[in-house]
Amino acid sequence: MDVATCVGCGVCVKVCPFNVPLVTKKETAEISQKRCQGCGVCVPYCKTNSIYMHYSLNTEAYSSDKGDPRGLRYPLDKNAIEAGLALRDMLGGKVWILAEGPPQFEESVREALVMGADEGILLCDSKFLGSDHVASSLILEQAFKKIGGCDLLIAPQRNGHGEPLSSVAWVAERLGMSYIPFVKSLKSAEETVLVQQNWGGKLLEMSVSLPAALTVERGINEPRGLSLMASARVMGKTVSHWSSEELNLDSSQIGEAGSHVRLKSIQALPRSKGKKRKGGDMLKGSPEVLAQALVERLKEWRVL
Amino acid sequence: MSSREIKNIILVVEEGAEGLADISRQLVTAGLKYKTEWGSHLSAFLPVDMNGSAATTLAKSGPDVVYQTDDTLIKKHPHEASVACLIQLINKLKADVVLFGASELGTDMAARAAARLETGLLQKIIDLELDPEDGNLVGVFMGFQDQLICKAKFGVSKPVIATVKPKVFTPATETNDSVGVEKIGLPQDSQEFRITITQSLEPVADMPDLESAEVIIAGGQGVGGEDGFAMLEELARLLGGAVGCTLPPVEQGWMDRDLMIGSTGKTVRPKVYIGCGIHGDVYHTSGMDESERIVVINDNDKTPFFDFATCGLLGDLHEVIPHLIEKIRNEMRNL
Repeated sequence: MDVATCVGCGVCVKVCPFNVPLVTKKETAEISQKRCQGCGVCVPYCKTNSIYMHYSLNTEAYSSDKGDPRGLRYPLDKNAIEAGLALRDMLGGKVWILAEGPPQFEESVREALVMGADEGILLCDSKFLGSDHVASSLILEQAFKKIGGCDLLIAPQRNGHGEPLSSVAWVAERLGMSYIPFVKSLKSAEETVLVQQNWGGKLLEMSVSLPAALTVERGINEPRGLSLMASARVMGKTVSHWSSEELNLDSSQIGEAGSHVRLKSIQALPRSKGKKRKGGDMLKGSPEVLAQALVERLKEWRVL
Repeated sequence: MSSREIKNIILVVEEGAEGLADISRQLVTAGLKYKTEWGSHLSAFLPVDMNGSAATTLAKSGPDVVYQTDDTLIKKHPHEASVACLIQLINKLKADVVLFGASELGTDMAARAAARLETGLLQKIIDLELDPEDGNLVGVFMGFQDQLICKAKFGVSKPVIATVKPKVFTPATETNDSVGVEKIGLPQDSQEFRITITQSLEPVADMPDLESAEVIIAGGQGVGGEDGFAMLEELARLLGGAVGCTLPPVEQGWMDRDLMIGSTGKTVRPKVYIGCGIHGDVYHTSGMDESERIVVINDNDKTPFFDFATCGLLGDLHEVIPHLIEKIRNEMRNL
């Protein structure tokens, strides 16, 4: 935090999923490095560019308390959960939720149980931090083996930062599953699933043999709502926490040690502030004249 | 310590509506840059070429050699067959670096290939550099909604696989010189196929993402409601663009929060940005002021947003836009 430039607007307090920043009496924000999860969500929100990120693995978050009683705003991807629940409702079977994160994520897993998932497991260990696609896939792979495998693995297309969740490809490769990302629609058929995907400029429809691992797009379905009744029903259910020990993973296989790609540095992008353009023309006239003038411009700019 | 040599680079490209896809032309530019910097041999691999014109374009765009598949199975099982061919090519050339465009096809194939080869992968890089200390490759990428520049170092496992973010490199142009096109077949030991194409359709014209759209029609409080935004959407579809908004329409429930542009939403940089009924607070403008051309439509000449305009239209958007839609339709008919 740069206290000299912070204006104490409080936007970081609002957006932080972990309730870490506080605005102090001096009207500047304070971000506890111990509690910060380093998700980076607040950085682009800060209007004065006062928040800096340092690269270090924050293991403290895993040993700290359960966080704020107001709960977390770091929801799991409901579309992926809905896709699984809809198939189960039709075909039977069981939906397991696997999530990886600090202990505070338990609430999010619980929400998936309220939606109707059968079991919830939180893969939670500070040793998982710093894992790249390869190492995270190993964690997932072990977890799948522990629950006895599955027919269909459904994951969101993008992680919390909007990046493609490619670790699923490794899990699929190692467990001999078909892998399809960017899934836009999903139907079950005998021994296969029928999916649609945009690929190479075409909309492809294909049949995919089970077991399969899919990452699904946001628009694939309309997730169901949460009911009070359902939340009462899952009150007694526990979310198991699995650490590297339970998954029989050695610390050399996971985290930074097990990764092929390691984060080296993070730097804030210098942002230009409100460039005003002088010399723009102001067109006046009837709506029709204005519309015609804009059409001419659009042609000149080659967007028409 | 001696610098790790980058002898062979493979670019994996895809066909577009006409010839080579735009993202692949950008990828070729990136490849040519690294070829010059590191003195590497640059190969380009085109797994699928349904129209048959992409290979010709590619051969004239700058790589040292072009590889193409000639197996009919690739049309039926493109996902698995193209990766099988690529892996074969990587092994044959002992490739050090394999680059893809960060499209659906590229993102998908990159992950498959990296998983099969158990090697490191970075998505959406904006640059690659060599670490001056140990000569290992370092990928530069934008993190956290494109607000931070991150660098990540690849380990020693080869090849290094990455997808290149769209619109970072300018598309390569065709020259008169053409290089040879070599055909590669499917390896003999290919596994059974698990993914079979049942139908290949023309894609439904999805609205592009705000971040990648070349044209954005944005609306503010002045749009007045969902009907107004439906009109903006119609205009956006005509121009192949996307619709965005400011905070008030989100608060009113007219628009989804995902479509908000500004300091608490998306940051956009289209070729043409058309802002309708927007006041122009810094919370919005900080997310769009890098746009190449800005059109502002508003009926209040005191609106601060006019200060940002390349071209301002002083008029009621509810009257101007229907005329605009009609005129654009006419233009398209005349083409």
